This record gives sequence, structure tokens and C-alpha cells, in this order.
Amino acid sequence: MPPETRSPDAPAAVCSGLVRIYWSPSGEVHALKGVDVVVPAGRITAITGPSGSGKSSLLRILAAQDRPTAGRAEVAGQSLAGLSTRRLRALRRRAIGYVFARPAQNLSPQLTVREHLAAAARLRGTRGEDGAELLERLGLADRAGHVPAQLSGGEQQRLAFAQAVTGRPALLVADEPTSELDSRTTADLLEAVRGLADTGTTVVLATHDPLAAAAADRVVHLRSGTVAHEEVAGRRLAVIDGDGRVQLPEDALARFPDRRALLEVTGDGVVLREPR
Amino acid sequence: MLDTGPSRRYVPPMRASVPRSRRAVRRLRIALVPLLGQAVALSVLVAVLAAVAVSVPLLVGSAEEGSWERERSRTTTAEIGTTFVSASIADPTDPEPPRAALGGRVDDAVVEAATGVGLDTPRSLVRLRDTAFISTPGGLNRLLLFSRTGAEENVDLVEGAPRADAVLIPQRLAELTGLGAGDVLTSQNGGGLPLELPIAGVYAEPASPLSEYWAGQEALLVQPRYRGLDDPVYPTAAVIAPRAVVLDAADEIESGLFLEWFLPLAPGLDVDGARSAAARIDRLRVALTTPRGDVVRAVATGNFSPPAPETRLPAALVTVDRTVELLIPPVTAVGAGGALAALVLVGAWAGQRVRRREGELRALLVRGLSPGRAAAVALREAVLPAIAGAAAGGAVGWLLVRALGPSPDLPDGVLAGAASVLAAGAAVALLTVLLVTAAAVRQMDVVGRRPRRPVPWVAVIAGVTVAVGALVLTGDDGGGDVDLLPLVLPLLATVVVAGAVTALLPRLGRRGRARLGRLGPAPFLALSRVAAGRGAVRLVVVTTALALALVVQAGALADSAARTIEAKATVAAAGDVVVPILRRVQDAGPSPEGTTVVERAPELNLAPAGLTVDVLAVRPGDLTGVVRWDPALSDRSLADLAAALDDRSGDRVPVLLAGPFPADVGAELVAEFGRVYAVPVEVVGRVAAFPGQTTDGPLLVADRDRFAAAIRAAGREPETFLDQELWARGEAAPLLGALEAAGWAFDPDQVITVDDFAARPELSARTWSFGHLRAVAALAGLLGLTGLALQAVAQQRRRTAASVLLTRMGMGAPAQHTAAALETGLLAVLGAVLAVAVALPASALLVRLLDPVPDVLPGPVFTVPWGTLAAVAGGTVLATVAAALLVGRAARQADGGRVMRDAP
Repeated sequence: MPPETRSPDAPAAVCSGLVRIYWSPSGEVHALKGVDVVVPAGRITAITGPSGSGKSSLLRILAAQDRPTAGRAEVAGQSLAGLSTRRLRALRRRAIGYVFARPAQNLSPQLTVREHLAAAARLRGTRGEDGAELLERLGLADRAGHVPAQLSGGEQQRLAFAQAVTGRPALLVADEPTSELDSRTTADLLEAVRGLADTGTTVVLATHDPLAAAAADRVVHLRSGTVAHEEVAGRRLAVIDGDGRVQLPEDALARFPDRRALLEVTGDGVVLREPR
Repeated sequence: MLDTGPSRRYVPPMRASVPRSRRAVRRLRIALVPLLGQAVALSVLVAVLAAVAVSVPLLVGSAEEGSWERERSRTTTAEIGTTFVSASIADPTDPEPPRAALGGRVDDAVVEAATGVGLDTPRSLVRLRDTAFISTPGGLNRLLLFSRTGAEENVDLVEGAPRADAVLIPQRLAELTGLGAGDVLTSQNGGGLPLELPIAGVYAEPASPLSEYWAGQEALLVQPRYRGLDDPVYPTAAVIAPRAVVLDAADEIESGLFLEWFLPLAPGLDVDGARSAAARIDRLRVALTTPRGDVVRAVATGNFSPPAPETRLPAALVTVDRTVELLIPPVTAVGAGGALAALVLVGAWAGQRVRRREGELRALLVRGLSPGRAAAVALREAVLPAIAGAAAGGAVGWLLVRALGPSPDLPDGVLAGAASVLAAGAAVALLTVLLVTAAAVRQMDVVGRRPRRPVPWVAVIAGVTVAVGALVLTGDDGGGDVDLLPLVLPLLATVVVAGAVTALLPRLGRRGRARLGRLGPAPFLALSRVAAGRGAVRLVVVTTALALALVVQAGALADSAARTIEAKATVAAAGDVVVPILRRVQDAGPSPEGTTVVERAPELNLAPAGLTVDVLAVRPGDLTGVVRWDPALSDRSLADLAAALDDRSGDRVPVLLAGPFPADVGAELVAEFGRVYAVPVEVVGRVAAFPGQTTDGPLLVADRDRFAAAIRAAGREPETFLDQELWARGEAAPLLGALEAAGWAFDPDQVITVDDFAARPELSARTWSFGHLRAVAALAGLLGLTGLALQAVAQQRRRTAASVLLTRMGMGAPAQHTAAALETGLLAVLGAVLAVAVALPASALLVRLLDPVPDVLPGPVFTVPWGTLAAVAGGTVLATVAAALLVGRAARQADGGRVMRDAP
């Protein structure tokens, strides 16, 4: 479904009870164990968590590069369940932009900046009218005739963002986009990403970088394939799934070594206490 | 990665500063040849594919032309040209025989029929059939009065000039009789009828050998020898006359006429011309026998025998066709196999292209690029290299076939066929790039699939090898034909062994780890990398072994075939020339110097073994000077065997057993010819075959004098039972001339020469097909070793980060270069050793099955191709050195800081 046909308030992606299992020679690997995530449109959402927590798996599903083993994933208004590889590809082409962690990974060494945008537009099926604006917005206008080897790492990554958002996709997914950048360049890039979000682009970042997480409107913290907590506007929220299970943040969990709690429903909320 | 600083001032973009034409060129270059190195690699592979594929039609065409040229050179102008004769038939009951002038009508009709089917005007010979004699002071001379088209222009006149009503006499006759131009030559026939011929001139008798014009007319111009017959010898006087004079003379002395027409084949005619000439001659044959045709009517009216064309042209073309027929399967098999292998390499290139551009492709895949679109881009980028490669390969194939093939010329239509093959090869290469890219990109784009169990390739290929081996070894060998299965067997075996050995390398590496640790850094690093047996090691060893195995196999098969042909030629042609002597016709003196006369007795019973054997009776003392000997025939020397045959100490005739005799045949035997005679023989040696052995059955070789004496002792005349042959070394023509001069009687058509044997279609086809295999193998070997060197460079590029780390850990650049060179050398040597160790014995096995002429002993002879092995060793060393140099250069070019920054 094209983004413009959906309600402007509709989330860019919704995941519910998401499970992803991989098969390896040593057995099954449960990467995601019932993840519930909502990615609001026009905002920056950061996904954080230690290595092996399921960030990349969740990101691949949000980027329509993978299908969940179980659970529901809806990206740009399109449920991924039962989508063929061809349809997934079409969804990516139409509605998703993607940025890899390493700047050089996103680019073709022989193409100039302008040619990258033109090629991306062709792939998206648009005429690339927004190319000049994107170059200007991302500070690449004066580098339009340069090939990646002539660009700095930050410029390369800005170019990667530019080509990813050409044609205004419903969702821009970036996998640790600042991991290979220094803090100054990261700040520049995040400013550029903020600018994109301000124009209505929905951005999902998987990141270890506190700067990137801080720049996000919403931070989803994963732990062992589940959502440990979310942070919205500086407030940390525990996540309750559809079956009433609550994920406690780690420091809160540490209060319950026996994994048992007294639950008290009060007038203004629910209180968990250590059983004594 | 560090940024270079704050945003820069605005610089006019490329679009504004770069001319439109340059932008267009750049767009085209990016679209068609984005990476020059990859394009060059594909061009080379397609060139190999094209060269190999195009070599099939080109070599077959070249062989057709070459075979024709060989046949043409083996036949004389008279033999390959077309001769047809007719003669007036005398009818004693006819009160008024037809006038000789009717012979002129026959001649005219035949000439018209020949020109009517598109042939040149034949050279007509009209000659008096009956003998007339000229009286000279030296005695009678036979008059040979004839006319021949253009004869007057092909003799040197020493007096007078040709006239329409007078004859040209030979200078010898003029000197003998004192006659000259303006005189009248008088002769008379056996019945006393006079014949007077006005003389127009005197010609110098052509010297021998005669010119092309007089080819086949030796009977007219060369004085005959009738030694051995009771016929008196009269010198002949060949008198050249206009046709009308001959016809009048025939009427005058009531002689019959002999008519002959000769159509020479145009010199330098190619095989297409020969085929069209043969077709026209067939049409002429039909025209000459058409019931209501002019020729048939003229022949009937004049009471002439019907003329029938005779030529060796169809036989020569049959030999050409047979050669091509035998050549096509092996050449096609080699060409198809080579092209397939090159196609696999093109596919590997496509896979490698995807791998090298994996990052770029993944970036596009996550943005929705379809495998089809990725494949289309690959196809677009492959078009120019494929076209360039096909053109280069086609040109190289053409030049190689032209330079090394049987003939530099090609029949009509071959180049067009080759162009079609070239186009098809390029198209298939492009299709391969398209399909492989689509499959590889699709594989990258797979979502959520369970991992597949890897295919055990070594086991699978081992199974295929066993099946192919069983088919080859137990199946019908097809009379020694070369086809695909025997050719691929050694290659499959090499792949299996190379795969198994490389699979064992990690285990060996683990066991020898402690010993490796005691080595210096460079050998430790090299051996550790080899012993790790990773995918790259396996790939390099298997492909190098495969390429070199093909070289070794081709060398072994080609050298063995040449050796086998040499040994068989020794047996088939004994010396250089074998002249069967007509029995009881000659009254010849001793055989010429350097020759020997042998005798044969067919199908004797050998008791008590119960075998049917032929007997070859030779003079042992003559053998070493006349007979060709090949060490493959026996482990004893010819002199040793001749001495054994010449042993006269016993009562029995010493004999050699040649060919297939049972091991327990016994030493003292009796050769019986029915109840006519029996010769007790004693076996003094065994040989695989003996020169002059004409069948693949058992042969007794005996001393000629003692064998004849034994027959005489039985009360029989040996001449009655033994056929004679004269064996000689050297050229056939002078020998036959000498024999003829000495009065030996033989049929030239039965003479066997070593060249005749070598020109057999089976042998030509075998020699050329193995030459082709050798060329393809050399290309494969070159490609394999080049691939080895390039793989070493690619490995070095992949290891740049590790190399920088090793440097920072204290391992110097020379030690690293030494390690890389050692590693490449070890892989190359391992591949070469495996190739030789597997392909050589497997080829030895195959050689036994590939007997080109099974009816001529000995069987196939295997030869170790030392030259090829030296080339393999040299190539391996060269590839290692080249790889070391390239790796060193690649390492020097690497920027340590950049390497570490870009390291994944």
C-alpha cells in the first residue's frame, strides 16, 4: 500500500509477538522471542541493545528483508506474513530505504554522487526530482560530481542516506549508521537525519551509539530477543505484551532475584513489590 | 572513519564543467565497462571459449583441404586427371568397315559432351592402332602416328613448322633417316600397305621426366623395354600429326584407331574445385552413356568401344571424406569439452563478479533490486567484453589453425560456419553470465531459508568417474575411436584425487602442527596456509591439477599415437618401399643395391600348436640394411634377431614368432602346407610384430634360404609356393624406375610405401585430432597456471589487513613475500604432481584402447611424454615466479593505513 493512501497518523511499522528463529548446524537460534514494537511515522526510532539481542533481526524484518517465523509484522501498511520474495522486494523498492553500517557498503565505487541519486531514483521508479534538494539538505551539493573514493566517511554516509530516501520511502532503516564515524561527523549526520525526519521521513536506526540513541524520538531497547524497555521523551517505559507479560528493565529486574513479585493495583497504577 | 572537516564551499558540480560528450562517454563506460579488469578477464575467457569452439569447424575444414592436398601430392597428374579411351572394333565379317573419319566424329562428340558439362576441352589423342614400320639404316622402327590436342605447342621444334597436312618427326628418326622438313616419310604396315607422310618439321624428343602436358603419355615418347618377353624390340618413332592426317593414314593402311581423352585437373585446385570437378565428371559419365546421346550414336556408327572415364579423383575424395569423418568426432569432443570448460570458467567469472561486487549488490538488493535486473546489468556489462573476446578468440583460432593445421586454406563455407559457431559461443557465454548472475543474486536475496546440506562433490565426481571408467573399460572400444568418454576419464580421476587430497590436508596439517612450529616464519606461514586446506586451496589445487592433467593427457596420447604409428609403419612398410614381384614373369638379375627380396607363404599349419600361421622368409644378412626396426617390436635388437635367424647349427629352420602366439607354443614345431610340404622349425625368438607383417595374425619369420631348402628337401619347388617381394629403403620412384629398367615385373598399384601407410585416413585423423587436443590442452594449461598466479594476487589482496598486522607484529616484507611464493609454489607443485600421478597412468590405460589401426601390429605403444612433462614443470615454476612477483607488487601497492581503515 503506498504511504500516501494511509492515514498520516498510522504508524510506519507495527510488530506484534514477533518471533524469528534461525537454523544453524548446531541447532535453532531464537533471535526474536515475541517482540512488540510500534514505529511511529515521521519520527526517529532507535533500536538499541547488546550484541545478540536481536537488533539486526528486527531491523531486517522492518526493512522487509526477512519474514518473521511467527507473529505479525506490518511495514508501510503491508503485512509481511505470506509475502513472497518478489513482493517483499517490491515493498522494499517502493517503501523502504536502507543504510548499512559501513559507508562504502552503501555505494558503488564507480558512480558519482549525482549518479548514485539518479540510479536510486531509477530503482525506486521515480524521476529523481528530489535529488538536488536532498544533496542540498545533506550538504553534498558541492560534491555532486565526485565518486565515493573522493568523499569522506561522513559524506559517504550522508550520500547513503540521500539515496535511501530518494523517492520518499515510508520508512528509512539504518543499521548502526554512525558506527564508523567520529563524534563530530556523527553529529553532522544525525543533524541531517533529523532534518529528514522533520520533512516527514520515518527513520529506524539500530545503534550502539548513545549520540544516535539520544537523537531518536523513541528508543527501543532489546535484550535477548525481547524488548527490555522503551524510552520516549526521556521517560523509560516497560513493555506489556498482549498476554499481559511485562518486561522489566534490568535494574528493576535485579530487585526480584526470585523472579516473583507482589502485584498491587492502586488507583493511579500498578505497583510491584518484592515479596517479604 | 574520520571526516575531513566542516562542509566545503560550493564547487561547481561536474555537470557544469564537463562537456556533454565526455559525460556521454563516461555514462557509456559506466554502463558497459565499469571495471576494466573484470572486462578484460571476461574477454580472455570468452576468447578461449571462442578459440576452442571455432577450432572445430576450422580444423575440420583445414583437415579436409589438407587431406586433399596430401592425396593430390601422392598422385600423379595422369592419375588424378581423367582419362577415357576408345578404340575402333575390328569386325572381320564387315565387308566395308567404317571409315576412320568416323573416329573424328567420336572425338568431336566426346569433346562436345565434356565442354557441355562445364569441363575444359579434353586433350584428344588419336593414334593409329595397328603397327606400321619405318625402314631406317639402323633397322625397322615402329611408327607411332598420333595427334594430340596442343602437341605441336609442347615440343621444341628444331626444324620446320607445324602444318595442317604434314607431320612432325622426332629428331632421332630425322638423324637416322636423314629426312627433314619438306621430305616425305615412308612406312608400311604389317600387310605391306604403304603410307607416305609429308614432313612439316623435326622436334626434339622431350627428356625424361616428361612435362605435365605429356604426363601419362610415356608410352608415346619413352622407348619401351620388353625385357623378359620374347617380343623383339623395335625402337618407336612418335610422329606427331594433325588429326586429319592420322585419320587419312588410318584409312590408307586400313588401321583401326585408338582414341584417348585426358582431362587434367587444374594445378592448385582446392578441395571444393576437386569436388565440383568430380561432379562434372560424373555428369560427363552420364552424358557419354546417354542412349540417344551424340557420343553413343557416334560410337555405334563408327564401331568404337564406348569411352568410360577413369580417374583416381573419386578415390582421393573418398579418402578425404573418410579422414574428415574420422576426425569430426574426436575434434568435436575436444572442442565441445574445451568450450564447456571455458563456459564453466565464464560462469565462474560471473559468480566471482557477483562476489566481488557483493557489497554493492547487497546495497541494491535491500533497496529492492531484483535478480533479473541485476542479471540484466551483468549482461549489459558483459556484451562488449564478450564481443571483443569472441572476435579475438576467433582470430586466434583461425591464425593457429592456419599456421599449425593440416592446411592454411579452407574450403568454401567453413569460415561462415565458424562465424556462426563464434556467434553462438558468444551468445552462450552471455546467457551464462545472465543465468549465473541471476542465480547468485537470487541466492543472496533468499529470505529465511533453512541452510542446505553441502553437496559432497568429491564423492559425486568419484561415482561419475567409476561409471565412466566402467563404460570405457568394459564397453565396445569402437575400433579405437576417440570420443568424449575416454578423454574425460583421466580428468575426472584427477579431480577426484585432487579433491580427496585437499580434503585430507587439514588433517595432515593438524598432525604436523608441532613440526610446522619448528620452521621459520615464512615456511611456517606458507605450510600452515596450505595445510589449512580452505576453499581457495582446494579450488587452486583442483583446477591446476585439472588443467595440467589435460596437458599431460594430451601429451601422452599424442606422443603415444605418434609412437604407435611409427611402430606400425615399420611393420606395414618393412623398409620404405615394398614391391610385390609378379610371379614367374621376370627374368631379372640381382636385386638393386640396398634392397632385399623376401618370400611369403600364407596359411601354413603349425603343429603341434594347431595354429594357422603365415611365413615370411627373409635373408637375415640383408635385414639390418633394409628393414626399419622399432624397439617397441622387441626388447632384442634387429641384429641380434637376425643373428639368431642365421644360426645354421641345428637341423631345424630357425624362426621368430611374430604377433599373437600362445605363451606355451613350444620351441620345436613343424610348419605344414597341407600334405605338400612340411618344414621343421625351431623357435629362436619372439617379437610383438615383424616388419612386413601384413595381418594381425601369427607370423613365422624364417631364414629364406633354409626355408626354401627345406621345401626342396620335401621334393617341391619353393618358387611354386612362395610369393616374392622386394623391400627397399629410400624413395619409391627411383627404385621403381631402376627395377623397371632391370626388367623386374611388378604392378605399380600394389607397391606399398611408408608414405602410403602414413596417409591412411585413420592415421591422419588420429594425428590431427591429437594435435588439436594438444593445442586445446596447452591453452587450458596456460589458463590454469595464469589462474593460479592471479588467484595468488587475489589472495594477497584479501590478506592485506592480515599482511599489515603481520608487519606490525615484526614479520618483514621479504619473509611475507617468501611465504606467499612458497604457498603458491606448493599449490602449483601439488597440482602438477597430482596431474602427472593420475593422468599419466590413466592415459597409459587409455592408450591401450585407442588403437588407430588394429589390423596392423603391434598394438598401441605407450610413451611417457617427457617433453610435455618438462613443459608442465617449467610452466609450474614460471607460474610460481610470476605469482611471487605479482604478489610482491600487490603487497607494495597496498596502503597500510587505508587497508586497516577499510578492513571489515
